[in-house]
Amino acid sequence: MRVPRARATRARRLRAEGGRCLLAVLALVGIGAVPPAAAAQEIDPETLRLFLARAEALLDVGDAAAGMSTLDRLFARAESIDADSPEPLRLLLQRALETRAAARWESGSRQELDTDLDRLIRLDPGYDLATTGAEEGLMARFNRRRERLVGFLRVGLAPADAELMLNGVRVERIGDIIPVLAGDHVVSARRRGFAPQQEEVSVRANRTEGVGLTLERSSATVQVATSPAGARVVLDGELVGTTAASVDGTASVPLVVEGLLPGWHEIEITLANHRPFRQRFEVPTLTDYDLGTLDMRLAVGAVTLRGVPEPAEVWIDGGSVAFTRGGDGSIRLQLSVGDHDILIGTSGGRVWSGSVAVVDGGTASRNVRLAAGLAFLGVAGSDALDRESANEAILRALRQVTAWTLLDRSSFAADISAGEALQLGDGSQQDLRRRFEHETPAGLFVIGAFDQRDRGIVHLNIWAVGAALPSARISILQGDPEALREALQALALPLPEVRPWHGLVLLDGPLGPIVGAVDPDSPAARAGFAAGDRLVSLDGGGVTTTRAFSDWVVAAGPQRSVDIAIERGGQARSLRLDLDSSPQVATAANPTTALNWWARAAAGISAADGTQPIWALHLQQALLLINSGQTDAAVEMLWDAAAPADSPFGQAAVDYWLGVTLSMGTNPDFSAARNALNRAAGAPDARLFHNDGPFIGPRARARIARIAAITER
Amino acid sequence: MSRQLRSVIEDRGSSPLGLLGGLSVVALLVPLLAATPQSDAETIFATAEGLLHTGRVAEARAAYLEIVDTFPRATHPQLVWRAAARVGLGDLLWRNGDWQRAGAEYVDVIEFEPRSKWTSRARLKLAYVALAGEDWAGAIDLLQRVVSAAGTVADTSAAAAARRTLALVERFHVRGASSAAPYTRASVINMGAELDRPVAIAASADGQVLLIDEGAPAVLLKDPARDAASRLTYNAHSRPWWGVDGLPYLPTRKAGVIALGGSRLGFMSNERGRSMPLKDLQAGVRTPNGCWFLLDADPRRVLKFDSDGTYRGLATTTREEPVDVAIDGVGRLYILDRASSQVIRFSADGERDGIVATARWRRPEALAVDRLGNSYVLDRDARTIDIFSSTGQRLGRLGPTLPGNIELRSPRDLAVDASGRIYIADRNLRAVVLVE
Repeated sequence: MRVPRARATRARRLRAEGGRCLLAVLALVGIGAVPPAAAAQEIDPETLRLFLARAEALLDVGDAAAGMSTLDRLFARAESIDADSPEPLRLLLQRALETRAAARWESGSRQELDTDLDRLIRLDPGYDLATTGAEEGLMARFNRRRERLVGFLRVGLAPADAELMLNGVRVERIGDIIPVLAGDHVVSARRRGFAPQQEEVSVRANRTEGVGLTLERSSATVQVATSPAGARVVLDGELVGTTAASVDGTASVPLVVEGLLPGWHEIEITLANHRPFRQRFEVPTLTDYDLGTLDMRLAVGAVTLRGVPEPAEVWIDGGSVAFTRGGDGSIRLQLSVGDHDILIGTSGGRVWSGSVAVVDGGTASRNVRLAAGLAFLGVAGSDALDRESANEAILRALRQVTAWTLLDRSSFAADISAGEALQLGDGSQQDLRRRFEHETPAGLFVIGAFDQRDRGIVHLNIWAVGAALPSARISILQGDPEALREALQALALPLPEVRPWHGLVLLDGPLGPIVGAVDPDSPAARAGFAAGDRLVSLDGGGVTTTRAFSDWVVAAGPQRSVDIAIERGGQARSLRLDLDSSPQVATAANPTTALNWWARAAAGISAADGTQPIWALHLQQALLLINSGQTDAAVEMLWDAAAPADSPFGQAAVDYWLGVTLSMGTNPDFSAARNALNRAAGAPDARLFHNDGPFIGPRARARIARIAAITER
Repeated sequence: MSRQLRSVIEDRGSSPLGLLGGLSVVALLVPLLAATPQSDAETIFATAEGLLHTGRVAEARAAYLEIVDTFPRATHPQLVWRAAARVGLGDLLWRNGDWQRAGAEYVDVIEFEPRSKWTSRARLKLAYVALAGEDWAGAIDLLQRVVSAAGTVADTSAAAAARRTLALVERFHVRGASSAAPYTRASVINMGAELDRPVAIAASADGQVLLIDEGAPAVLLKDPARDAASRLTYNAHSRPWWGVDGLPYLPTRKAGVIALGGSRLGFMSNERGRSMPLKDLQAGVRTPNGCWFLLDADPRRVLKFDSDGTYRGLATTTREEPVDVAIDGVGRLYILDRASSQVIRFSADGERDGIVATARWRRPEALAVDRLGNSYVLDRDARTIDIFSSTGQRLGRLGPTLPGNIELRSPRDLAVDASGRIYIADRNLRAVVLVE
C-alpha cells in the first residue's frame, strides 16, 4: 500500500510515538460504539474529526481494512453534507474524501475512487487535489473527472466593486474566471446605490461562458464610521443602522447608507453618554460620499465641589478619579452625562457623599460639608445566613445615627475570622486594620464578631482611623443593636473645634477686668485696645470678671461684633471688637474619654462647616497619642502637621509639642527637642490650644532649661 | 502596704520626723513600695514634707521621686499625689535658684496631671517663673487662670496669691504701659493701738503687719482682717522681716533671730578665725534655700550663714556700709549700701549680681523688694521713697507728701506686701502709712 508523501512522513512519526497507543485511546473514547443511525439527525464535527483521525492512523500503520471501515462509518454520518453545508463540515468531508480516494487509488478500486472524486468536485468546483500532495496518477484522474463536470464563467462587473452572486450565494472572486458545475446558473450583482441585476447562464463542462453585468446608479450613498462603534445612525429621521465594531476595535466598520437622492440631507449619529453628531449635507450628484470616521465626543458636564480641604480623594460611582483644583481650591471634575454618586474622603476620616445629575455641557456644583465617615465592616464568624441577618440589623440601626456618614462595607468581615475581628480592636492586627483603613475613607470603624458560645450575641469593636488607643468594645443582642446606636451617638458629641478670638490678655482688677496686654495683629489690637484699659460693659451689660468676659465671648462665638465700654485714664470710651475665629484643640487626660476625643478628632466629627484645618486635627491626634504614651506616632503626626506661622496658635504650638514629645520616652532626642522648643519659644505671642490659649513661652523656656541641664550633666 | 511601713508611719506621732528614727526613709521606702496601693502615695508625700520641714532636702527629694516613679501616669492616671510630688520637686529646684528647671516640673504637672489644686499651684509657680523672666503677658495669663480656676479646684490659697501678684503686675507693668501712676492714695493704718515711736516694720504677702514701736517697747502684729493688733512683748528695735516660709522673723540686738511663734536662733560669726557672737543684729533675710543673710551693725556688714547656722563668710566688703537687706521673689539678695548710695543685688548663693538702684540719697535708711524685683529705697532725711525696677529703671518717687496729702515726717522703715502696697513706719508721725 502506498501512501502520499506527507502522510507517509506523518505516519513514521506516529509510529515512533506509538501509534498503537493512539488507537487504544481512540478505542477507549468509544468511537466504534456510536450507532450509525445517529449520524443522519445531527452531525457533530468533533465526532467526524475523531473518526477521521482514527482512520488515518489505521491507514498509516497499514491496517487498510480497519481504516476503510472507519471511513465508511464516517461517511455514513456525513451523508447529508454538501456544498451548502457549513464550512467546517465541508472541509472535514473533503479531507475524508481525499483520504479514502488515496486509499482507493492505492487499492485499485477505480469505480469507488471516481465516486469520491466526483463528490469532491461537487463540493467545490474550484477544488484542486494538487494542493494535498497526492500521487500524480491520482491527480491526473481527478483532473479528468473535473473536466467532465466543471465549466467556467467569465464575469464582467460594472462597477467593479459590486458584489457577485451565483445562484443567490455571494461569490468571492479571485479572478474573472469562476469554476462552476456544468449546468444552468443565475448570476447576479448588487451594490449600494445601484439597481441589482441578474442573468441566467448555461455553462457546459470544460467550457467558459462570458457574462457581463452593468449596474445602473439608482441613488447616492454615504458611508460613515464612528469611534467608538455602536452608534445609531439616523438619516433624514429614519434609523438606518448601527456602526459595527471592527476587528481592531479602535473605530467601527464603515456603515454605508444608500437611497440618497440629490438634495439636502441630515444625518444624526448618537451614542450613549456621548455628544450627538448632527450634520446637514448636500448630495449634488448620485455618487458615493464618505463622511470619514467620526470621533464621538463624550457628553460631559462640569462638576465643581467646593469646600474640600487638602488632601482629599474622590470616588465617582465607586472608582477613584483624578481631579484638578481651581484657583479657589474647589475641585473640578468632568463627568459623563447622567447621574453619578460622589464620595469624598479627606485626611482624618471625614467624608462626604452625594449624587449629581450631569447634563451635557452643564455645570453642577456642590458645597461639600464633610462629616465623619463611619464604616461598618460587617460581622465575622458563624455562617453566611447569620452574618447577613446580623449585618442587616446593625445597618438598620446605623442608618439612624445621623451624626455619621455611613459607609456600608458589611461584606469585609466575611473574609476574616471572629478572632481577628476582635483583635482588630486591640490594634494587634495592624496590617488588616491598615487594609480596611486604606480601602475605606472613614474616621470610625465598626466590626463585629459572633460570640463563640452564644450566636445571639455580637461583640463589636469600634476604633478610630490611625488610633493607637484602645478601642471601644460593646456587646449587643443580635436583633437589638440599640446599644451600638447609643455608643455611636455618644462618640458623636461635638468638639468645639473653633472658638472666638479676641487677643486680650485680661486680669481681674478691683473694679472689673483690666487689659494686661494686647496681642499684636489681633482683633483687640485692631479695635484699639491698650494695656491698662478697664472693661466696663459688653453690649451695654456690665462685666465684672475676666471669667464672665470669657464665658460671654465663648457663648457669642466667632465672627461676632460687640461694643465694649472701657475706661482709659479716667475717660470713658467705647470700642467695637470684631471677634475673629481660631482653631482649637483640647487634651484628654482622662483615658476613659480618650476614644471619644480621638474619634471626634480623627473623624473631624464636628467639622460640619469645614473650618477646622487639617493641621489642627493632626495636632489634636498627636496630643491624644502623647497622652496615651504613643510618642513615636505622635512625633510622626507632628512632623506632618503643617501649621501657619503667622497665627498665635499655629506652627509654634506644633513645634512645642514636637519638642515635648521628642524629649519624652525611653530614647529621647534632646537635640531635636531643643531645636523644636527654641523655635516655639522664639514666637513671643504663640499660644497653645487656641489663639487666646496659654502662652507657649514660659513652658517652652522651662523645658529648654531642663533639657540643657540634662544634656550638660 | 507592708506591715513594716505601716508600723513606721503609725509610730511617727505628732512630729513628722517621728517616723524616721534615724533611718533613711528612702532606703526604707524603696523596697516596700513595689506593691503599695495607690493611697499610700499620700503618706509618702506627707513624709517628704516632714523631711523638708526639718531641712533634710535630699531625702525629701528622693521621697518625691519615689512617688513619681512608683506611681507612673500609665498605671495611676488619676493620682493627685504625683502632681503634688512634682510640684515639690519643682519647689526644691526653685529653692536652689534654678527656677527655669523648676518651671519644667510645673509645666509637666499642668500638662500631664489630672486637674487638682496642685495643677493650680503649678500654674501659679510657673507664673512666678514667667515673672522672673519678665514675661509679663505670660505671667498675667497664668495668674489669671489660677484666679479663674479658684472655684473649680478649690485652691483658695493659690488663687489669693495669684490675685495679689496680679495686683502687683498690674500696678507696675500694666499701669506703666498706660503711663498711669502705680500709687494713687495713702492712708494711715488703724493699728488698733496708740503708737509712740514706730521705727521698724514688716509685712506679709497678704498684708499682715509686724511693727516695732520703740517707745512702747512692744511688737505689734496686725491682721488686716481684724481691728485689734496683737501685742507681743519683745524688747526689739531692729527690723523684722516676713520670711518666704510665711513666718515673721525678729532680729535682736544680741540674742540672734527670733522666729515668732517658733524658736530662737543664735548665730556665731567666725571672722578672723575666732568664733564671735553678733553684737548688733539689725536686719536679715532667709533665702528660699535656707541660707541666712544677717546685717550686723558692729561693725556694719552682712554675714552669710548656712541653713544650719554655719558661718559662711561676708557678703559685703569693708568699704560698704549696709543699712538694710531684702530678697526678691526668686531668692536674690539685695543690700542697701549707704556708702555708695546703691542697691546691690546678689544671687541666692551670695554671688554679686550687680547694682540695681543708685541715686544721690541724703540718708538711705531702709530697703524693701517685691516679688518682681522692684526695689524700694527709703531716704530718711529726704522723706522720700524711690522705686526702681529690677533692671535699675527708676519707676517713681513717693514723698515727702504722699497722695492724699499725708506728709511723711520721720520715716524709719518700710515694707511691701505681695500686691505692692507700701507700709511706712513714721516715727514722728506716730503712724503706719499705707500707700496703694
